[in-house]
Amino acid sequence: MTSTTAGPTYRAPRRLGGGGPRPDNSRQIASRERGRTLRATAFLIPALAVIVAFVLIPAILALRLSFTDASGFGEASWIGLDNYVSVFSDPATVRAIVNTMLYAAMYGPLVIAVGLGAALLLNRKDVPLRGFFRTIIFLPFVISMAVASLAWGFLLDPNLGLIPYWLGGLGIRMGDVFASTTWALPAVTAVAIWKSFGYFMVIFLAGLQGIPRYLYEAAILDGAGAWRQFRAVTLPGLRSTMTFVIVFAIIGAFQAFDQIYIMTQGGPDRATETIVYRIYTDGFRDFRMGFASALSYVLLAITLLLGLIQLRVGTKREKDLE
Amino acid sequence: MMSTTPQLRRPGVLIAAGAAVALTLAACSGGADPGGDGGTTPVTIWHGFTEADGDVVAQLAEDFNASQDDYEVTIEVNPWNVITDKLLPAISAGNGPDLVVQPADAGEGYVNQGVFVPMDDFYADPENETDTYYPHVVDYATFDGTHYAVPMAYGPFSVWYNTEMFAAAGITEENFPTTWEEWIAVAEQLTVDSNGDGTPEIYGLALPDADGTFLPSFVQAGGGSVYTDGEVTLDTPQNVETLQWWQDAYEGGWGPTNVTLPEAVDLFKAGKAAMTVIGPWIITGAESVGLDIDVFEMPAGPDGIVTQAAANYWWLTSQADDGATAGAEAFLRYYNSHDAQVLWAEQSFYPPNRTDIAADAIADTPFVGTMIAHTENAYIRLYGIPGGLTDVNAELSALNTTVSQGGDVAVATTETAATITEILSRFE
Amino acid sequence: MTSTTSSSARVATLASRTPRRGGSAVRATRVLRQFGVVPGLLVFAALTSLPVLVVVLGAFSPESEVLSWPPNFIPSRFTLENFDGLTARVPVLLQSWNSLVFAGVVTASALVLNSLAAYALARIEFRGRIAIFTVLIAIMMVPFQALLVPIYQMVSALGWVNTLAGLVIPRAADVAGIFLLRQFFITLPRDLDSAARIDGAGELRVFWSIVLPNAKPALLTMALFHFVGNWNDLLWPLIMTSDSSVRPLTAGLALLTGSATGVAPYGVMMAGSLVAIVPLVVLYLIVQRRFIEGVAMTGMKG
Repeated sequence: MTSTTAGPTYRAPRRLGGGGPRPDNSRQIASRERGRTLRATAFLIPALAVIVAFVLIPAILALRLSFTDASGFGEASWIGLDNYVSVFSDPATVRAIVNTMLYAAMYGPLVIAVGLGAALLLNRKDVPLRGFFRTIIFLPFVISMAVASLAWGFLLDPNLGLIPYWLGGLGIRMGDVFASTTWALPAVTAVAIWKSFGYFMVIFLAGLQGIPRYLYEAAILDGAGAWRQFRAVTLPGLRSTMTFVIVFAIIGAFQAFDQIYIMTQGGPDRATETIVYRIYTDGFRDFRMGFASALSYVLLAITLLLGLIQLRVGTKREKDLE
Repeated sequence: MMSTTPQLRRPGVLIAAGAAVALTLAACSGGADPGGDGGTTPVTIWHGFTEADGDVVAQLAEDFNASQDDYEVTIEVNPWNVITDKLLPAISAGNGPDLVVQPADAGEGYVNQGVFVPMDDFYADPENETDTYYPHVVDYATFDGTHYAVPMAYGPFSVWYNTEMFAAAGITEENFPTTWEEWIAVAEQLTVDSNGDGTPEIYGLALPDADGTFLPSFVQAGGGSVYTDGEVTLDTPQNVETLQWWQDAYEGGWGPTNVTLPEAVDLFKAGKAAMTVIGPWIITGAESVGLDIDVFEMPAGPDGIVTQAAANYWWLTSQADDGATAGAEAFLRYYNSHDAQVLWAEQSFYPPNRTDIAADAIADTPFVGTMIAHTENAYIRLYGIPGGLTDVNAELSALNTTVSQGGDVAVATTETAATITEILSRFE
Repeated sequence: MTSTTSSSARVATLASRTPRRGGSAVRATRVLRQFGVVPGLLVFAALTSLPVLVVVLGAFSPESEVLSWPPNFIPSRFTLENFDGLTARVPVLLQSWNSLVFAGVVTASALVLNSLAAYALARIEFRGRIAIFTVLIAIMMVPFQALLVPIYQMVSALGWVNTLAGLVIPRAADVAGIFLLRQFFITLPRDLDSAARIDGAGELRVFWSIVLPNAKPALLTMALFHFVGNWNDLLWPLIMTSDSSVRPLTAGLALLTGSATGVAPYGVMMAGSLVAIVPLVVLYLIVQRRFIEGVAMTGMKG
């Protein structure tokens, strides 16, 4: 059996016997399907119980809140779609949506590229001290954002920091990058990429190790060079990993919050306010819990659209592989 | 990988195991058991003070508990931002505090939401000695004629200086600056730029501009205000004049630009600035880096001395029932009693909340005596803003950077005032 | 890509006809790449780990030198005073233990629950699997900040505030973990289990003895992320607990920042951060080694 793309093609043998007329086994099929559903349910119930109770139901409660003028305390009254209208008429919120899109456009592709690059590099046999490098590269993920921003703050402090000091020695004057309305958002994105690419690297490493060696050997025997191997063996083999990575990068990008909360508080002049930052300030600081919930669902809609597109593409390709 | 020989297990076993774990965990409740020994009413208090300040509060709570049998105070310490995150849901669910420390500006929002309840009864009872409180401090916690909070910690922002640098420049108590002009002159005098590259090695005065911290007090010292009696009063010729004065002053190059309050203070602590403006908590910070500092009062602007205060109050929440309220009031009476306040001042370096404590009662503690006098002219920043504080601050920061780095002050002031009005219109 | 049998046939023909690029040219590019790769990696690693170095060096620097002028990377003297300051302010051992329990229990239960669910979604062809999967993904896209208050209300309604149950059970399973494992389970070849099924093994047996052992890299990865994520989590434990004796290390460290500006004891904070990082690095090193073993295993697969 062949497929048009490289990759493992596995199909469990359907029939062990030869040909001949098939007996009518529609009832058997139905009961087998029931059996499968039953088994699937048993496997799914523990996890789904937790998720339904502590994620799905709260999400529904939050959805309900979004149609009210809830402040976070006391009574709330139904106001229909008013909050949703406000989302798009409030300039600060719209600004945050735009910022988030810019952020995602920078963060998504870069973090995946860097993560994949690092994984490819550190998966090779010929790189010395692989374990050491992998650990170093993973460290940013391991320290908390609070500590990371403290450390970066020290390094980049325009008056007391090491980096401006060193650059100053080279004659390069470096201002406070987080105070510039042009550079604050890219700077915050860079910190996020720095902090999370190790996560993607590890995932790619796990995925890379799921690609059987003999595929590479076969490719090499066919005369494929490094690039050809990448395209013909690696990329297809990483397909399901890539689906996960892309969905996660999208979610991570659109839910950017921690680094902004800690490093810039949305400034300067709202340049780094993201959607989730607005959700937080509206909901937890400005007594606009209903509005914040509505904004969350607008975010959900945007992310879901992008994520679903990716999933559709991804699961279709997975079906091709099966 | 060939199959090994595992025991066949039914899924049910796994689920049952999971349920058993869950039940065991639920049984091992890690929470503190409220309502202690027979008859004492529990009073829950939340605050965010740490280090020395937090220790004193804990000490006072302990002493209070030991001194009587009716009430037992339990303290939960959280970072300030977590308190804000947690307060509303916790109170709604009945897990919140009876008494909570919050700054005055945050308090009003909560009052409007019904989270904090009136405390007129406390003020009406002479046993509580509320007549010893500073009147303007009490006024800040009074809305529509009703008292809502009790003073907890009122720390004026003063000018702290590096004693070594002042001594080297020959500046002594006699010639401490008392007006803005003198202040900037001293700052310029103390600025050191030995290699003449435009960036001083040592700044005369480190003031924050990136977060708009002091903009309201400067405006006020110039005779105007940002927000008064429900109106945004920022856009006036007088305020523009005040801000213009500062813009011109900044050209003296005595101060860093694009710095927030923590960054400005870090500069001072690192010995890169001769002066900074901050509250009394700098004392422990300076000690930890071995820096010798001293303090004088904020110099006067055209309309007098105006400085900022970090003002924290005790607020009574809607969760507190009659018993807890009585307990809370008893604790507050204790906390603001004469001896307790002496202890508070001595260990937290905040001036005491009572006017009847003489400076020599706390003479052993450095600086606190001096700062008592500063309390008079220390006001709460942006008092009365009904909400949207984060957004309003964002606007003021932008205006402040125009002042410190250049731009049309008049235009910026008008724009900022308009945006703030629009932000606040949401809360009418 | 054709199957291996025909591949070897093609090899025979190819080898005889196509001149292979070999010899000195290949060796040269390989050596060149070697020279480029390692220094590049070193620079990259240095940049990446700079802030971590700040933390490590800062933990051993005297307070006055952590953020000083002129800035220095290496302190003039190394000291342990920050660690003394740390233990004086934070119950480090107790809170580290709490962190371990919290992160450990959550990770362990998530491993079990998530892998079960992921297996169903990946390997059992039942109607509605894509629908359920899609709903789960959608749930993941609601930001935590929007859910925090409703979750708190649920936990409070159950009476679990300030209990270990309330802290752990809402995290006992999560969509991200299910997603990760499902994506990996899908890549495992179908005929792995066909032999066992023919022998009459039930679903659970297949799950336990066939799929799980082959999924070690993914399971380890998920466990690692869960542990790190929950070990470093600050907001959730702080909201769910009131008693400082049950709070994790992150809570103790958060309170180190001091309640006001200028008070933050930077050196002590660095020391605390270092203490918080070390267990995670150790965990990563352990997982790392299993990865290498994982390579050996999958290499011989098929």
